[in-house]
Amino acid sequence: MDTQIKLQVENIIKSVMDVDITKINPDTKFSSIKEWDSFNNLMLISKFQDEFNIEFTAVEIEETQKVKDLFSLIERKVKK
Amino acid sequence: MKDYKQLLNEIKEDKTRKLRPCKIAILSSYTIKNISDALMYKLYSAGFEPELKYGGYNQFIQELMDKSSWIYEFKPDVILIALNSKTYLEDLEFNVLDKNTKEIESFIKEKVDFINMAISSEDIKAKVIITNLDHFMHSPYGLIDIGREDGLHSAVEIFNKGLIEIKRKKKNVEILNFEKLCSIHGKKNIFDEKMFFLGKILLSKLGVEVMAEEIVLFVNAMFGNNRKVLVVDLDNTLWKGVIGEDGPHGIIIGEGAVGEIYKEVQSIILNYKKLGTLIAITSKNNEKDALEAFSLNKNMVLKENDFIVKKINWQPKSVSIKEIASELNLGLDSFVFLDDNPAERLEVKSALPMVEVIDFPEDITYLPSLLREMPYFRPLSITEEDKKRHEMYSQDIARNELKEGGSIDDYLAKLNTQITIKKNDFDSIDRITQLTNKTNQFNLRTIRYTLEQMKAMMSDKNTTVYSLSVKDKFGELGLTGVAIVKKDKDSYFFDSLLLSCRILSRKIEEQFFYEITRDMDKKLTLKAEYIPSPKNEQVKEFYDKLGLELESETNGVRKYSKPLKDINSLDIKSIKVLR
Repeated sequence: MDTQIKLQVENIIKSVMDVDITKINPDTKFSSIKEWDSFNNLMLISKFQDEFNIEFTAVEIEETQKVKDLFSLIERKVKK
Repeated sequence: MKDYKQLLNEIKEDKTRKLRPCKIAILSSYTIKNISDALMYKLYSAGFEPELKYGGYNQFIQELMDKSSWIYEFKPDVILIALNSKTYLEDLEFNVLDKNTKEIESFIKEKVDFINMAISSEDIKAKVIITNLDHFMHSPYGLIDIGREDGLHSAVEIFNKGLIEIKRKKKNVEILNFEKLCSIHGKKNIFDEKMFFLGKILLSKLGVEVMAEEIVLFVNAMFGNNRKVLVVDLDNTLWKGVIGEDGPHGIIIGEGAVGEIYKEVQSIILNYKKLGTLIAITSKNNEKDALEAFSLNKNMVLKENDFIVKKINWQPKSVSIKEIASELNLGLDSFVFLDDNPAERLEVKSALPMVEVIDFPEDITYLPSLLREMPYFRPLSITEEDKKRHEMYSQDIARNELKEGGSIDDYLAKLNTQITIKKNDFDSIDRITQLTNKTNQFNLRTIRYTLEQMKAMMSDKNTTVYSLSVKDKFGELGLTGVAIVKKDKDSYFFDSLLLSCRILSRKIEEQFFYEITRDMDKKLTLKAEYIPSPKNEQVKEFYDKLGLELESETNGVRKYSKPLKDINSLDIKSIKVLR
């Protein structure tokens, strides 16, 4: 992933979620992170939409289960 | 859209502001947690230190009915119940076709009753804000829904009428007009369709913003934070043109598009005045020229005598505003200033930071809506005192003129002051509660009470709420003093003692105190206390002057006591007492 985007994504996660970013790796499932409830997840999605000026579909949002899914989704959208 | 998270962090950093704690329990039929940052920020900006807690999704009825729920432990000042038709009326949109009118009506009635039941507990001491329901955006009946008794429009109407009935019966309930908010901003803008499907999050970023603003208006009013005086400039503020150059018939008011706008501006200001806001003038003009605008131009909506004070001169406006404040005996934090000239606004803003300065729009088109929407004059109740405020303050000014020259005793004798003291007067409970919330200077302990708490004290057999009304040769000064006395087995305690500044320096405070001590059992002891606040320095030694013994002083809190048998309840000659 583009390091610039990666850094931006990590910063957003930190600011919205208040989680320790070092404990997260690409294979981490969102459902396994304590702070990551469905409400916070949606707030995060909405923040990504604003910051990168992109829009996720409902299907995309629901299919995003792991951190790496999210990264690749954002990357795909930003490059379009 | 603003980044409220960041703004919130910035405003929290500022430790110099004096903030008032405020706990809000937020209950809702949809997910509303996304309002947090915007609401917190707006509450901080309005001078509160908020603590918000959220109920479970659509569980508020159970949570309110269950006395062991978090709500009763949290003890909120305000309970917000945010409703929305799609969630609170469940699947009505999808089964409305299978229901007849009667079934719909009884379903709605049950929904209203749930709310009524949920907020009826004696243990709810908080103010309750309930939002009404938004009309459904779509109905399966389509074009003909609005005309049908079994349609969705009718269902929502019945529900909202039911809420109004609840509000009329319960003094601690207010209705937030959510449907109106929706119609002003548009449901397509303030709802977020996708987030609603994904997480029952109803409000978009704009939705959260407008809702938070509306909530803050209520909270502000509930805590008695309204302002009292609107000070206006004249030229290009109340009319287009310069009176000194254009003359009373040359200025534009009432005719043409711009004239219509200014006419609305004046009409809006007049409405504020009718409901109790005092209006005053600061204008750089020759007084005679300026006043001719009012006497000679027939299109003028505001008249000269609508203004409580007129400062038409060439001195800095901050000086004029300070003079107005001292003539009215009101703090500068009660003032709002309206002026088209940015230099004047800047001068007032920098010299008097407590005065709220309105951001006058570039285009006058937007001034009427700005004046209608400004948050400063939004009472939740309108008392008789409010409606008579202008008249009362003009009498005050006449009294002050009588005081000038001559000795204080002469003045007091000439005033023919008459005071009426009542106990636990439920008829005046609104005014009494209002006074405990807005009296700052002559207030010995500055304890604020809600209507619910006041009701409880008036009904409690060991507590007496005294109220004081004053009248003199110039007219009624109205209900202007409150004392709350709590009795236990060997003493009486002055829980509260406060008087409006308007009636000070005429010994009424002393007579009020003596009258209350007359009711007391002489075998017991009187206890009293002074708690310092940023504004009540002037009464620090009030009890000393009455001869009470200072027992202790810790962190500025002064505790007094005296056996009642040693208190000689005097009669002050210049005051006539009615009980």
